Amino acid sequence: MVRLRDPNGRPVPAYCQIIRNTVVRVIGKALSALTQRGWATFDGTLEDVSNHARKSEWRAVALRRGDKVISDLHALTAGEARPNSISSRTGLGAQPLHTDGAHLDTPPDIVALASTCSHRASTRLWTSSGANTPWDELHQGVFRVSDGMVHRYRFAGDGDSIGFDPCCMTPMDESSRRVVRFFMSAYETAYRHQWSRYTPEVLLIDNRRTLHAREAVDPADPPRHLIRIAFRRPEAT
Amino acid sequence: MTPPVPSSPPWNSDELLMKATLFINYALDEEPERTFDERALWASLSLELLGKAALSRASPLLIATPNEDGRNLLAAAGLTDDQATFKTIAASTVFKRCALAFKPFNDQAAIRIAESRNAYLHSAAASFTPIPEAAWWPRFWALAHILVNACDRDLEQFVGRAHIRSVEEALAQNQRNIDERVHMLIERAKQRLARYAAGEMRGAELRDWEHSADLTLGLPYAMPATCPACGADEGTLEGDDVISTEMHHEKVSEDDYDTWLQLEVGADYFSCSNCRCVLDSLELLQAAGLAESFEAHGDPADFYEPDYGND
Repeated sequence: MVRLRDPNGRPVPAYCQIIRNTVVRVIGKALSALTQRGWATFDGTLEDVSNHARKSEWRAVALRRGDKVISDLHALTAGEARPNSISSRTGLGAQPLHTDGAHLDTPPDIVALASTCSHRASTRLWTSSGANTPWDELHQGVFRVSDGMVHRYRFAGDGDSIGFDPCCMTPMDESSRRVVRFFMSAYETAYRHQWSRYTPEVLLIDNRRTLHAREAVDPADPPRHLIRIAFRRPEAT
Repeated sequence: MTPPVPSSPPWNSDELLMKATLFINYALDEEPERTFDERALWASLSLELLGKAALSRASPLLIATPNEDGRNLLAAAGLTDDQATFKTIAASTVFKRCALAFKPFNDQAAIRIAESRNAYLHSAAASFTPIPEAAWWPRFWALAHILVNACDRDLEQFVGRAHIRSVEEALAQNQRNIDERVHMLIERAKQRLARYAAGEMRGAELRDWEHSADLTLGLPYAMPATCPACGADEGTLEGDDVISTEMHHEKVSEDDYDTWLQLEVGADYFSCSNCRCVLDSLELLQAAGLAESFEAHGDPADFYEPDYGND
């Protein structure tokens, strides 16, 4: 068994190694679930995810020009939200199912959301594994995608991947309008991930086939705070 | 208001194809309800974008307007960054280039669609075309499917599963139309020849017959061919599009060589001086079973400079 060493080359205590091995096992299990189900949770922190990302050569990406790769997500009213954000459109209301980074040429592959306490507003998750995914419309409907400065036409479907965010994608034709209607109705039956733990928890999302959305937040609720990192996997050679 | 910043160069083939897809969706979508004129308008716009996408896929230079200062060519070549004022070539030029590059694309048929579009957009014309809708779509898809193929896509990728059956039916109808037209032209030629041979021709019909023995166009290259109507060897295939060349040398004396070029020429036109049968497009030649290309001899002087010498 390989003995772990700290950055100065000194062997780490045995109990640290046990913890480390446990974390590796937990993340491995979560990644397996992520592949099968499109999303997964585990007890841990973004640091655990970042450690795994370094080893797997995942690259953290910012979702907005000039932003850091780690984002603090707070529930904000439309007035408080940054301009041209989802919250600036929905405020504290329910967000639509969306892909993070759908406005980018290539959206990130994995999104990690981390919380350190419980929240009343759940995160809805919808995965394209179901037979009812409207692939024809996803591959035929044209959207105009805007990142604020750049406009371009895109399909929401790219092979078996999906990139959809109605806040930055305007449906241009009948097929794309059907896609919008489909995801509006899919919200109702989407899985609800409840942030009910009082210990650190991470939700991993396969961002290319699972759409997510925050439920409406009651202004009387305690402040909701999640931390997010998005990653791109290394390109297959 | 500041215009939106384009995400990629305006000559980008994938972006042109994406926009062609959007416009064909407008032409085919059931909702909102659109008249045939509006559908044909969107389809005609899509056809031009398809042509540009197909050409640009080979080289963006093929769709840049070659103006005096070369601004568009320089931008398309990546030597300048002037995307905002980039201008593409006219639709008729697009289609002429597509006809040369993507056989058997019929540029004249495509130009007629572009002219209908221009008349509909820029004049008081109250309808897109006098051609009935059922006859227009087969002609449109006969053109569009060649350009979709030139973009390395199939028709289903372009129109989606919901519309592929109607598009394939239109293409089958177009082939039937071509076959019927060839059949009609051949039968009419046979009939005329029979009437002439039987001495039944009179008046204007006889005058026209006698004045039309030579129906060749005078294109640069020609070869004799057997007429599909009367079977005589008095037919002529013509063309002006050289597909390939091969240099040949033959020693004719101790120190003298004869040099010539063997050309492969795309056939465009057939006429027969015996029965006066005329087939004036590649589609008709194909349907009649005539060769789509033929060999011809060319003079190297027409293609190359004379040999350099130190004299």
